[in-house]
Order: sequence, then C-alpha cells, then structure tokens
Amino acid sequence: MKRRTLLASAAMGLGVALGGAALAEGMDHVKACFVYVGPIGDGGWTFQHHLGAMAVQEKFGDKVEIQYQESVPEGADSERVLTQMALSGCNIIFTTSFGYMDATNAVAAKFPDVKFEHATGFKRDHANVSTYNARFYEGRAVQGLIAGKMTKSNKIGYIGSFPIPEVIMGINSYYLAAKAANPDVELSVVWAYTWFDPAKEADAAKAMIEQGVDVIASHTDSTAPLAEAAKTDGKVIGFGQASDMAEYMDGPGCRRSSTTGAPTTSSAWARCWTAAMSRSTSGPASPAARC
Amino acid sequence: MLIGGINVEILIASLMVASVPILLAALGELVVERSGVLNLGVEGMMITGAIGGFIIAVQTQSPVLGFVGGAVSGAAISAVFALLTQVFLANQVATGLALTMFGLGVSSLAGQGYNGIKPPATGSVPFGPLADIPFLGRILFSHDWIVYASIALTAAIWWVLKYTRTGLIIRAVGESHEAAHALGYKVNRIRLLCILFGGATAGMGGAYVSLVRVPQWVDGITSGAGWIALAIVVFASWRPWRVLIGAYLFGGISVLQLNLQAAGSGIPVEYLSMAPYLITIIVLVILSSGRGKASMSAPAALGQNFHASR
Amino acid sequence: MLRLEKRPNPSRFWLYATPAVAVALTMFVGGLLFALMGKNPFEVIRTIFWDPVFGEFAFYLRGQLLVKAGPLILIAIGLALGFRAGIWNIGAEGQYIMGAICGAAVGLAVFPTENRLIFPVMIVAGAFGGWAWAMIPAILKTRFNTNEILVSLMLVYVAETILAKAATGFLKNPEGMGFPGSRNFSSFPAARNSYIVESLGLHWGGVAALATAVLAYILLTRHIAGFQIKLAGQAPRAARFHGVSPARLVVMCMGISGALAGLAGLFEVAGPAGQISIDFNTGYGFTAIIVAFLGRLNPLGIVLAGILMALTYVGGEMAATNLGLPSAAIQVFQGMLLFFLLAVDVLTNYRFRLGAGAARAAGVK
Repeated sequence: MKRRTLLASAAMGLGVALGGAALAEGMDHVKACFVYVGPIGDGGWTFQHHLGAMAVQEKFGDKVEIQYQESVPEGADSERVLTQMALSGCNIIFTTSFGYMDATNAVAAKFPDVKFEHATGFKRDHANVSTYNARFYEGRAVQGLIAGKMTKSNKIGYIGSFPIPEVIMGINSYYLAAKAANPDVELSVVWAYTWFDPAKEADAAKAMIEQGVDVIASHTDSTAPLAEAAKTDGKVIGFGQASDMAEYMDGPGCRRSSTTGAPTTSSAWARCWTAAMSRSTSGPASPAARC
Repeated sequence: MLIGGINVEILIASLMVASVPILLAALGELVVERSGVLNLGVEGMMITGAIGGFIIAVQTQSPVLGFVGGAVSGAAISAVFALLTQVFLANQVATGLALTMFGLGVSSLAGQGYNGIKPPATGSVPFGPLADIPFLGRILFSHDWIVYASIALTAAIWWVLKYTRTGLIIRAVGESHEAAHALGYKVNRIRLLCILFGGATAGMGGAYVSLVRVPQWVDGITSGAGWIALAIVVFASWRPWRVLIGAYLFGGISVLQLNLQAAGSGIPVEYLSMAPYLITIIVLVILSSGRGKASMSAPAALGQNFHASR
Repeated sequence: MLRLEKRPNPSRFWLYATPAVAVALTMFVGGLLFALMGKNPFEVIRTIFWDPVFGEFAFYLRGQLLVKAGPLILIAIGLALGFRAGIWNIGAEGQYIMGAICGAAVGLAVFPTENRLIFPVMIVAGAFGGWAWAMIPAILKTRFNTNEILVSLMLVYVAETILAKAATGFLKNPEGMGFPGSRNFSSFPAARNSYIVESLGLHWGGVAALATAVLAYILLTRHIAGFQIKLAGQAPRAARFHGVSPARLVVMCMGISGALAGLAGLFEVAGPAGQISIDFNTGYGFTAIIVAFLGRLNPLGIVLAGILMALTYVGGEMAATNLGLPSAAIQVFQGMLLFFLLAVDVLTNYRFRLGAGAARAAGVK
C-alpha cells in the first residue's frame, strides 16, 4: 500500500522527534535513514517526508547524517534495503509506508541496536520498533465541515484509491462532518483503484463535476483532481492531499484549496510528536505515537 | 441527453480529450510498425515528451511551443533507439524496453525543480456560436487544438499510407525489406525517419498529459499510457482509423466506468475497473474471428533488423 | 567509409568479449554522468559493481543477488522459448501475479495446518495459476487468431485488479486489523519457501531457476520440441511442412512461460515477499523480457544476464542510499548499460570494414 496522507506539518515533527530520541540515548552523532515508497518528485507523500528529513538536517547540522532511498517496492526489496541500511550504520530508520510493516519487524529482530519508526502500521514485535501516525481523520473532518458549508449543489465528492481502512476512515470522517454541517449533503465516492495515475485521477474529478459535485476531496497521490477543479473557474473547490497543494489550484477566480491539516495546528503537531516519539523510540514497545 | 444518469454528450466530449495521449502515441507507433520496426519504448518516449514539453512551455509561456518541445524531445530520445536498432542492429524488443527505463530516469532527472509549477493553459479553439449547438456543439466544437490535430493526423497518416508514394515505400519496407532494398530504397534510413516520427508523436502525446490532461509535472506522470498505446496499435491491426476507434473505445470505457461510479451505479468497482481492458480484448476477439481474418496480420518484417552489406 | 560486414560465422571471441566491452563503456559514460552530478565517479562505479560482490557487506548482498535474479531467470527462460518460436508473451507480469495468488490461496486455505505436502501443493497451484492465465491469450490466439501481444498485456492490468481485490478482500489477513494484505508466510512454516543456503540467497525459487535453465538448455539442444521451436521461429513455412502444428506450439510455449512465471510468483510470495499485498508485483515480468534478450534467448546466457541485472539493482540501491544519488540516475545508468550491451553485440555477428564489402543483403533477427 503506497503513499498515504500525512499532515503537512507532521513530517516537520519528525525532525524534532528524532532529535529528542537521539538525545535521550546520549548520542552526539546520529545517522538517520529513510525508506521512501515513491520518488521525491511525487509532490505528495514522499516529497513531504523528504522535506521533513531536510528540516532535520537543517536543524541539527552535522550532528545528523541523512540517507534515503527512493521508490523502494514493498516486499522483498524493502527487506534488503532495510538490512543494507542497518548494516551500513544507520541508528534510526524510518519506513514511510504501511506496506513495509513486516519487513521492518523482520529486520528489527536482527538489529536490536537500531531504532525503527514505521508509518501507520500496527505491528511492533520488537522493542526497537515503533509506529508513527497522525489523526488524519481530524483533517478530513475539517474538510468535510468546509465542504458541507460551501457546497451549493449539496453534492460533494471523494476520490478514493483503494477500499482500505485508512481511506474508508477518511471518507466516513469527511461525510459525517459534512452531514453535521449540512444535513442535505450527498456524498459521491469514486475509486481510482490506484494510488498514482494523474490522468485517471483528473478523469475521476471530471466525472464527479459532471454529476454536479462542487467540492472534491482526493485520497490519491497526485494533484490532478485539484487542477481539474481549477478549470471550472471557481465553481468547484477541492482539497489537496499529503502536501500543501494550494499552488496547483490558483486558477482564475479560484478559491484557495485547503490541504488536510490546517497550518495553524502545525506547531502543536510538532510538539506532540516530539513527546510521543522520543518516548516510544527509547522505551520498550510502547503504543503508537498517537496523541 | 441522459442515459442511466450519465450525460452522453459530456461523456463523448470527455473521452475525446482523455484519448488524445494514447491516440497520438499509437499513431506514431503505427507508422513505426508499418515500416517493420517494433519499438516497445513508447512509454519512455511519452514521458520524455511530457517533461520536455512541460519545460519548454513553462520557460516560453507558450503551450504551442510546449507541444513542439514535446515532439522534439520525444524524437530526440527515439533517436537513441534508431541508432541502436538501425545502425548497430540491436534487438528491437530489448532496446525498446531499455528505452522505457532510460526515459523514465531521464525525465525524472530533468524534471527536478519543475514540481508544483502550473504550465500555461491550452485554451479551447474559439468556434463562437458553433459551440452552442445542442449536443453536437459540445462534442465537436468545444476542444483545444490538439484534439483536432490528433484527428487530422489520423486522416493524414491514413492518406499517406494508402495513397502516396511515401506510404507505399514505408509499407514495402515493412513487408519485405529485402525486396525494398532490391528496388533501391535505403531500408534503414527510411526506418530511422519513421522511428523519429513515432518518437515525435509519442512526445506530443506525453506533452498533452503534462500540459492539458493533468496539467503539471510529477514523476511518472504518464503512468503506463505508452503500454496502452502499444496495445491499441495491435488492436487496430495496423490501420489508422482503427487506431482512432481503439483509442476512443479504450478512453471511452475508462471515462465511462468513472462516471458510472460517480453516478452511483451498483456494479462492483473492481469489475468496472477491469472493464476497459476486458472489453478491448473482447472487441478484438470479435474483430479477429470475423471475416477480416486475413487482413489482421502484422507487417511481415515486424521486429526484424535489416542489414545490407552494400 | 566504415561499413558493417556480416561474418560468415559468429565470432566466438566477441561472443564473450562484448559484455566486458559494454560494461567498460557504461562505466566510462556513466562515470561522466555521475561526475556531472557532482559525485565521485570511481566511488559510484565501485559501489554498483564491486561492493555487492566483494565489499564490506558482501556476505549479505551476494545472497541477495540470487534472490533478485531468481524470478527474473525463471520468467525469462519461459519467455525465451516463446520468443524463439515467434510467440510474443508480453504479459508475464500478469501470470506472475496469478501464480502468486493461486499458490498463496491454497496455502492460506489450510492455515495453520502443518503438513509436509502443503508447500509442494502450493508450487503446483502456483504453476497452474500462471499457466491458466497464459492459456487465455493462447486459446484466443489458436481459436480466434487474436493477437497474443494485446491479450497478454491487457491481462496484466486485469490481474493487478484481481490482486488488489485479493489483498483487500478474499485473501485479507483476518487478524490484520482490516488492513490490506494476506497473512505473512513467515509465520506459517509448512507453507514457507525458506532458504536452503541463506548465505547464497538460495531458496526453492533459486533452485527451480537453475534447474529450469539446465532443462531448457537440454530441451533446446537435444529434444525434438526444442528443434520445432527454433524451426518455427526461423522458418515458419518449413516448420509447417515438417509437421509442426502452430497451434500446439502456441499452447506449449505460452503454457511453459505462464507456468514458469506463475512459479516465480509463488516462490516470491511464499519467500522473500512473504504476503499478497496490493503492490506485490514489482515489474519482474517486464524486466524478464530484457533479461531474455540480453541472454540472447539462450538459457545459460539468461542466467548470466539475470545475475548482471540483479547486480545493477542491488548495487544501484547501495549507490543511491550511501552516496545520495537519485534513483532516477540509477535508472538512467541501467538503461545505458542495456544500450551498450545491445549495441556492441553487433560485433559478434558483424565486423567493421573500411570501404565497400561484398554486395549482399541479409535479414537478421
């Protein structure tokens, strides 16, 4: 399962969290390694993680050495990349997608001295594995509220990737909040059956617009649905995903789109992550870093 | 006109737009294959065109120059394929696949720094009141110029292949390179030009994705359109108008399945999502088992390299 | 002027020398590319080609070469038989997926029974899944003359949708908290494709790949079916006069390549990958086409080509992680290596001559 939502600010939180973890261990030089599920140029999930990694570099300077590997397929290849990273002296390894879960735990068993941070999963079989996640559904609820208030046609849309828990959670949250704000609202869901196919995502947005939908949220990886909404001269608004995608939407007469996770919460997220993640990386298998 | 909650005129108008990238790429590949060359690198050429066109369009702020840039970059990368297969007589299948790998890498490197930029908009052709004709106006007079260009290109390729001397030479080279050589034609030079032409149209198709369909640059933006284009050429049994039909059929069903989902049809999503591929297969089975059986075959020299020692 | 002239016989010297020349050329041009990107070219080249085999972590990475090469070799050998006969199975990726789904389904159906027979039955089921998926284009080809390139390629996308359905539906791990993906075979010893020699990366898939290479070599050089395959590819009319039934050949070649791709999928899902997931397939089916031709459609050549390909993947990953190269640069480098390998191959069958050679035209496959 590839590339999923991440609060724009959450990745920045990684930096603070990482520092906290390393300092707790009393290390003065940390090698932090990232396993990315897509290319950095994806404009979304991996791009945002990389921004987070770069923020770490900037904040801690030569105390931290960053290494990463792009577009690592989930499965056999990820286990090799992880082992390679652990062998070459990484102190902490971030596995940034759900699909790395079993590989992360398998490699963690062999390298008890290396910390592993896995995104969004549920398995923590060893003391050196912990999970990080964000309350994505809260951002979705905010979007739903905005959607419910702003829709004129009372039809709102959601482009899903695959019917998996996280996406369904997002849809439910979006719909419930929209319904609370506007009881007449109707939700239309289109499954793209892919995480990344810009042209298809654009078509899905177009199909919704033709059905009278005037607020579109997307849970796929590209910014194409927003660009499609931008072509309607402001009649249709859209929400970005994973990264701040507002810049993709600035068409003539277009409203600024909101991205999952409002900017105002960013500092709060960073603080929360710092606390939770330094706890979970240095302690025994603790519950996921959710706050 | 509404059928099952779906507006037919909008559906047809959207499928015409959705099909342009695969149509352009498939038309070029058709000419390449008619000249006896199998270039499996369409995906690589498309994505190179997508980033080449995008960079030019952003730098010059001219969508037209962008498409020219897409065509030039597609042709440039296809020149690598042409050099390898026509001069060094390398295996076409493997070279084509390597070209796809190479193109994906090159485009990603070239595209660094172009994420999050909006390209200049390619507007619709102003047909004035014609666009307001009920039903037909939306279908025929509401598109950008590339949509019309792609249809015109279909007609042009059909005409050239069928009625002109150039077309005859291309077909001769593709059917029997030895006979063509014996008649004094430079087989490899003709094929090289065809490959460049195919690269140019594939590049334009890619540029259409990054400049109109999506419009932005992200890594891997064509996400497999080149493979579909290859399949469409086979579907069309190497004939231009059938390429148009195949591209519209495939694009149409892809758009239709999304529309059916948006309209809340009860068909399970996974069947809808397989539909474009399955229906393409079924239609081809019907076409190929019917009367036209004899005319279905590929150019006789397809995939074979030619060497003349003089 | 420099001209190409066909050799009367392929040069034995260049047959073995061309890969070395190609690798050297790639190192040179690739080195220039890396230098342009501000990296030390010697360090990058050493990391890609030397370190996985002789470097500090070679004890681990050497084994990974075979893990990566195994499926490529297995699929490529099957494809090569078809390609030799002029049968174009482009959809090995789909057959790989279906083999994995069928094999995994059989194993997961009896979870958590421990029985020695489970893994062998899964192997049969995996081969069957790939075979059955390949039979669709084969039968459409023989019954309706439908082009197998299109059908096999389109069926890849259909298989991917079925894979997504399997991972989120009928094969989903009941204890997976609703997340997509099947149970992991690492917790199911009877169904697990475990390592036989871990330091070599040898699991049953590797054994199958090497055994298949030998069998395919014998088939092509000693058996009548191998002769028929070669004849059908080189002279279809002669083959027909010789009593070779084109339909039988299509069914046989598609069947073998489908079954081998299915096997590769099964060994991968029960071994290194461990589970069915939405993104289980990573393009082995397409890369294997390149491997087949790099190995000149010869089973032993394919083994070498598969290992070389695996080396660029494993070494490329090392270079990307340790030296901070974008993975796109590695892709470009791999593409270049393939280009050079394919281009210098010309020296095996041709030589460069000054001036005009004998007037002779030849069609070359």
